[in-house]
Amino acid sequence: MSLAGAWVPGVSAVPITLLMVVYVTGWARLHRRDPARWSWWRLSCFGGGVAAIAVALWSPLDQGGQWLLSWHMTQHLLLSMVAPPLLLAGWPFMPLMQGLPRWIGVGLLGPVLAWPALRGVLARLVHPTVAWPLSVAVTWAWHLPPAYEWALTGSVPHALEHACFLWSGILFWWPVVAPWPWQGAWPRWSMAFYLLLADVANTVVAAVLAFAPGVVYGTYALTAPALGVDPLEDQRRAAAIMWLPGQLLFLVPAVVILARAGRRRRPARSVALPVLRPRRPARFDLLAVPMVGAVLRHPNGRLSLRMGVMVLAVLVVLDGWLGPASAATNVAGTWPWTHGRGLAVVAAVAVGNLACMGCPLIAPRTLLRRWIRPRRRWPSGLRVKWIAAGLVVAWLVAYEALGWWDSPWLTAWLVVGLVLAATVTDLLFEGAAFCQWVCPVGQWNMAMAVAAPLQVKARDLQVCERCATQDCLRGGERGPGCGTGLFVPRKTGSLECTWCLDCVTACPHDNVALAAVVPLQESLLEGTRSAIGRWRDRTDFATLLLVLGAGGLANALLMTEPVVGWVEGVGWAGSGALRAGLITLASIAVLLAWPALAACVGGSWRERWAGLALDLWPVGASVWLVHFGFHLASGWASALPPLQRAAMDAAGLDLGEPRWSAHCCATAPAWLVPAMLVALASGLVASLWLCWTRAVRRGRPVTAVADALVALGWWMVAAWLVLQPMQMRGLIA
Amino acid sequence: MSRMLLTALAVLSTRLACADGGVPIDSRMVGTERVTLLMTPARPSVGSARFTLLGHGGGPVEIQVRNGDHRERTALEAEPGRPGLHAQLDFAVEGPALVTVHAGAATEPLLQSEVTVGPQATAWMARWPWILAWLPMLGLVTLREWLLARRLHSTQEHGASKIP
Ligand code: SF4
Repeated sequence: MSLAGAWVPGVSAVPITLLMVVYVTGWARLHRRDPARWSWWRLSCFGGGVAAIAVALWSPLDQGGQWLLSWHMTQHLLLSMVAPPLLLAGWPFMPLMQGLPRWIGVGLLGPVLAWPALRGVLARLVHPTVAWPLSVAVTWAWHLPPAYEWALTGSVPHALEHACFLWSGILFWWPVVAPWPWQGAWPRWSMAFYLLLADVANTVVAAVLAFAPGVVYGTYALTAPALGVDPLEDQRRAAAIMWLPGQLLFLVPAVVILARAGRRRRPARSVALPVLRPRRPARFDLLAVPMVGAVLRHPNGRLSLRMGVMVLAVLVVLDGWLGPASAATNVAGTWPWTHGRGLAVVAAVAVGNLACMGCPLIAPRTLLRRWIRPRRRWPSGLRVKWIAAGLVVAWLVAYEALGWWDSPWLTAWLVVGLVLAATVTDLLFEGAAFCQWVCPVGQWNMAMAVAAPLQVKARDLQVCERCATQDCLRGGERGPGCGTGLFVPRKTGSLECTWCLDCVTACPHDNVALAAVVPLQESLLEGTRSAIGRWRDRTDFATLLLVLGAGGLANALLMTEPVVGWVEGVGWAGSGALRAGLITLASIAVLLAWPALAACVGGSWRERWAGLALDLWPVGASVWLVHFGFHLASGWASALPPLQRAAMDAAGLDLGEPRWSAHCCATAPAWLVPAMLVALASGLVASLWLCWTRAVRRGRPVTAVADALVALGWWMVAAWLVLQPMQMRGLIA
Repeated sequence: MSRMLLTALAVLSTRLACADGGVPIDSRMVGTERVTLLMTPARPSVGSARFTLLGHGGGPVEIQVRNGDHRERTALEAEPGRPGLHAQLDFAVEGPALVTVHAGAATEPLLQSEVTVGPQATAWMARWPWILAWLPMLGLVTLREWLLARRLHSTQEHGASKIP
């Protein structure tokens, strides 16, 4: 057995990578401001700590530790004596807080971390008189044979054991490392004795193992010999690891502390707290990022983006018409349904409405409008979202009833139909009439971007106040204004914004940004919204949002095997596909009935319905994210084989042998279902928070109960469907 | 405070990362070598279980599960980067099951163990920590709201007391 064996990062790769990314982001910010304090040394220490955890948990040490005590001891040493001091020596508090998005670090965690009661408990936990006995107790208790054997019986007790070592290790090393800006209660030299005493306690366990006449842990008596290792020899090796390297890990810092204490006889300078001036970091602006910003700002840059996607759409259409009828082997059967939707939803939640920005549907109209200028305005009677809401329902029903996902030919016609509809509408009517009032995909993109971290915003509102031309809205010499009627300084949120960035080109003051915002911040805004008006009066908008939420659940339900089996078994209403369409319609109606009933409680139904639409949207959006994200994560490898097949069939181009096995037999990654449940949990908590906050602001906290029940109901349906076996649509069964 | 973040993330990691080596269910000396059979999970339920054979010198080995009327037999095979021989088998029904390991053409089993199979673990049972992930999140948000409301309340009281 060797460390070069199988490394299994598993699900832990996600939080560990996130932890490192947050630290590095924060450290980089601090390093720019004060490179002497936030040196490379700090980064290396923290990186070393994270690496020690990774080696302990991902390397063959983890599995080998269950068969050899010496390996298990090494793993524990890494978790309790190597990782904690290194992590703490990276002075993690400020980098982690700086690295988190401001709304999480300051907005969400700030009040909790400033809570005196919590600070008091934490201060006590890291006090030497608590941290020392706690750490010794943990080490001794887990080395008692019943506890140690229990930890070997399964992954949960094993994980608990590791968590105890890591937690107690962090508490133990805290007063020793004294991560800045924390200041210890005891003089530094006393930490040398603290470490020496811990070394004695450690030595006791090591000595018991070293001098025991027999094997202490029965499991190893069976497993070690099977690997050709004498169990008693293995036990003595483990004791030696605990004794010698363990002793070094205590004694070296003790000597260093004593040496430093001897050198520095002057009292420490009185400055105990950070010397860094707290500075609000500049708001992130995607348009200010080199290269990316330049491409996005230029109208031709954006047009090239759309033309690029248009080329992919042409490929989809051609293969849909000319390629095989089997969806799994056709570009039109995989790219739009498995990859396109997945990438759009991930981009919406991670960045913003990139799907509308790169939408190929508006590429032809953008080009044709250079010669044909539309003269008509979209009829005022149709300036409502009812058509779009109806089209969303029709889309979802047709998707099931006509089996779009299963028919490349229909998919190709769908793409062509959408391009024609968008081009004709937008050559007849001014602005972005198709995107705003018709396109069901666009409505979905704009709604998803409500949870996005970036938004089109005015850089400096004072500049807008001095501006007399309002080119971002009306257009001017530099280009057309906003096609959906949004006035950038009064724009609130992402609804109605297609990220076309025409306003960026039109603004003569270069005052439009794609700026970092708090996701969902628009949900609680009262008052008038640009291009929308007063939200509580817009039942059409609210209904569209609720239809999208309920539709997401209905659409995902029809993917689960129990529901598919039930639909196939129902003996009415024609073909299975038609039944699926009707069931989609019925599911949407039932799911909409819940908020409709809740809206009857507490005040004007219209106002409550509008509020509920915004409050329930986080659950609805999380369902879409989970659904399409699942297809993307489990089917991403299915993008290449249809392309290879199409290239060979159409042009005799050899792009390699299609690996259809990557298509059908890839197992979903282990982290996928946990990640899906965490995404749903985040949506639910956001919805519950909105329900409560809105109810309190309206002075009717009781209504929050009804609203929360609807949110919980939707979440329960979503959680149920995540745990069902899925029908892998568009992939080879 | 960073401890909180660190430890929360670290605990999350440790919970998830555990590769399971299994528990020994039978072991015996074969000549001068000890051969041990391990099973994961420690308490099997209806569904699949993984078996690892350590210490076998060489030659083909098969493992069989007899569980009610259900019988399944498969070869134990080496896997890259992992010591021992491995196989995955299914327990079909609740109750006792006999697991036997046969080396080559020998009629006598090399190892044999009777295990008790529990009822099938539902997806809900297997995923409950993730299903309930919203509870600690909600706890954090509620605590934040309470602290902010308390701060606002005390600010108002403080402000009111200043009014003569
Ligand atoms: S505000 Fe209007 S012009 Fe600007 S990106 Fe959004 S839709 Fe386009």
